Amino acid sequence: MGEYKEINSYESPGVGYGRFKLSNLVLGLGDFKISFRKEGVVKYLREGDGSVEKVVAPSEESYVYVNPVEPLNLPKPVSTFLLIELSKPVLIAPNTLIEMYLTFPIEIGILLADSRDVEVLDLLSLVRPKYTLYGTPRAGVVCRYWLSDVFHHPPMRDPLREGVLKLRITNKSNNWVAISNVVLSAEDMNIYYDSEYVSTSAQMNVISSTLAETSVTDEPLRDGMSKSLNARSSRRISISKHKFVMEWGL
Amino acid sequence: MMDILNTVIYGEVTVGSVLLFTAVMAVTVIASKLITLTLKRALIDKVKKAQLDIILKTVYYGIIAIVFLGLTPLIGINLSGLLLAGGIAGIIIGFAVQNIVANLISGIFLAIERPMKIGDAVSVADVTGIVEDTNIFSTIMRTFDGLFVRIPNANVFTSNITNYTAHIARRFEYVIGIRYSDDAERAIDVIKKIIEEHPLVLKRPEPQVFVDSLGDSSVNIVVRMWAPTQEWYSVKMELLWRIKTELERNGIQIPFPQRVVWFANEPPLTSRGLKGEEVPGSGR
Repeated sequence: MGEYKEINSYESPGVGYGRFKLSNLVLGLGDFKISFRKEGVVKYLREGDGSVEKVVAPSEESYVYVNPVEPLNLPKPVSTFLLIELSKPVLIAPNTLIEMYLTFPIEIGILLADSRDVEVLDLLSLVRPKYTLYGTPRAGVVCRYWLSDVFHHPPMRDPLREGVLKLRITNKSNNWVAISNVVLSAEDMNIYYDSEYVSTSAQMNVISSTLAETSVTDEPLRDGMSKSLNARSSRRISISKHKFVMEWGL
Repeated sequence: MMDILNTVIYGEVTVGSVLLFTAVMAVTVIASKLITLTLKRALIDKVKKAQLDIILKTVYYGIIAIVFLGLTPLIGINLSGLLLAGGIAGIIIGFAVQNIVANLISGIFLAIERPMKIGDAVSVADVTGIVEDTNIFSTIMRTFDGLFVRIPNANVFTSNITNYTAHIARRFEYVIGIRYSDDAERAIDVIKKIIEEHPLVLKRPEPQVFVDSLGDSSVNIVVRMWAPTQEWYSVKMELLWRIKTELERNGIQIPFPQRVVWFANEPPLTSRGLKGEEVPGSGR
């Protein structure tokens, strides 16, 4: 798990994720500033776009993790799905496998952890959330919405705002198919980060021109990346591959 | 041993037949338990808990009742005699419990049809509120002002049911009037920007903002949008005021009702010594 940083005075370590000792600490996260002040207990303060104050009573084994988490929590949890609309449709030949890169929005989780449990202390985002409906009001799903360009190489993005999704698409049908949307069950996204990138990965098996199965996978963009703690399930290790069937069009 | 078993207790009932009855009933109860347990395991992920309870109880007591009725000759109860004797009593009891049976049957059909579940916001039999519980005879509702209402299932089954939370998204709309002198296209742009910026107004189905009618006092703009069902009311409460203030910030006013009155015969002005003078601009 992430790089260990301990800061014993009020100084900004700069923009960055990682694991920190619950001590005097100030972090700048874009428009936000979060700080921990040790006064017997630890007082947490988040400033910028409204303030949040909390009191933490840590143990010796307690740490705070600041890392990117799945974009499903703000302004309130209304969905477990992420819909990425492609700025241009991608046409894929029959029985073809391609790899491409999309971007996805991230939220920043401030998580308390010790050897036994993980708890969400705060969540913030530098990206304005938006939700959409995939399918019909009767049988569809509400999804977090994101519009992305399509890239053949990982694009450089502000790691506090956007991540890079490596998507492997297999067209198993005997027809050309046009992909305009990708819907992922994002609750179990495996998010990795380093100083330059936030990344996740997924695969999409196209069954017909209107039907596909997607699933998140567990693969960092490059070696040396740290794995994020998941805010939804607050688990250290996520090994599930949650699947979603896109049955209302691609 | 055989003598004991053949000992007559009363009529044609022997110790052996009573023991056989008891043994078969015991096996039936155990078998019913096993069947309902298996059924519970099979259905627990597929059926809501309240409905599952109804199904399990129906199966459990149904099996026991059928076997009991089949074994009644062993304990000297002649059902044909009972049927004859119970004919009149049955009619009387039938009339007495018809509502209870109607509610029971309706409860079973509601459990199968599932038009609503616990926690849904519904309107049924002139009651609007949250479904608190669905029992075998009645449905318990909590109105939005916190009142407890019990509705017999027969009423629920035969009433129109509007379930406000059955679907995952729902649409709501405002009608916003602006002055005739205001720029309606500008107003539409302002409103579209506000609803685009709200995270819980869904991107798709796409919101609609358009001039719907030319009213007596205002140009009426209809704003239609979709939101997740569990959040639509908070979004609705939040957005209207935001639209109003943003329109006013852009110089667009929501007018008061106004009416221009023309007199066919101009009445004489009587105050301040102007009686009989011609009023400029009266057109006469």
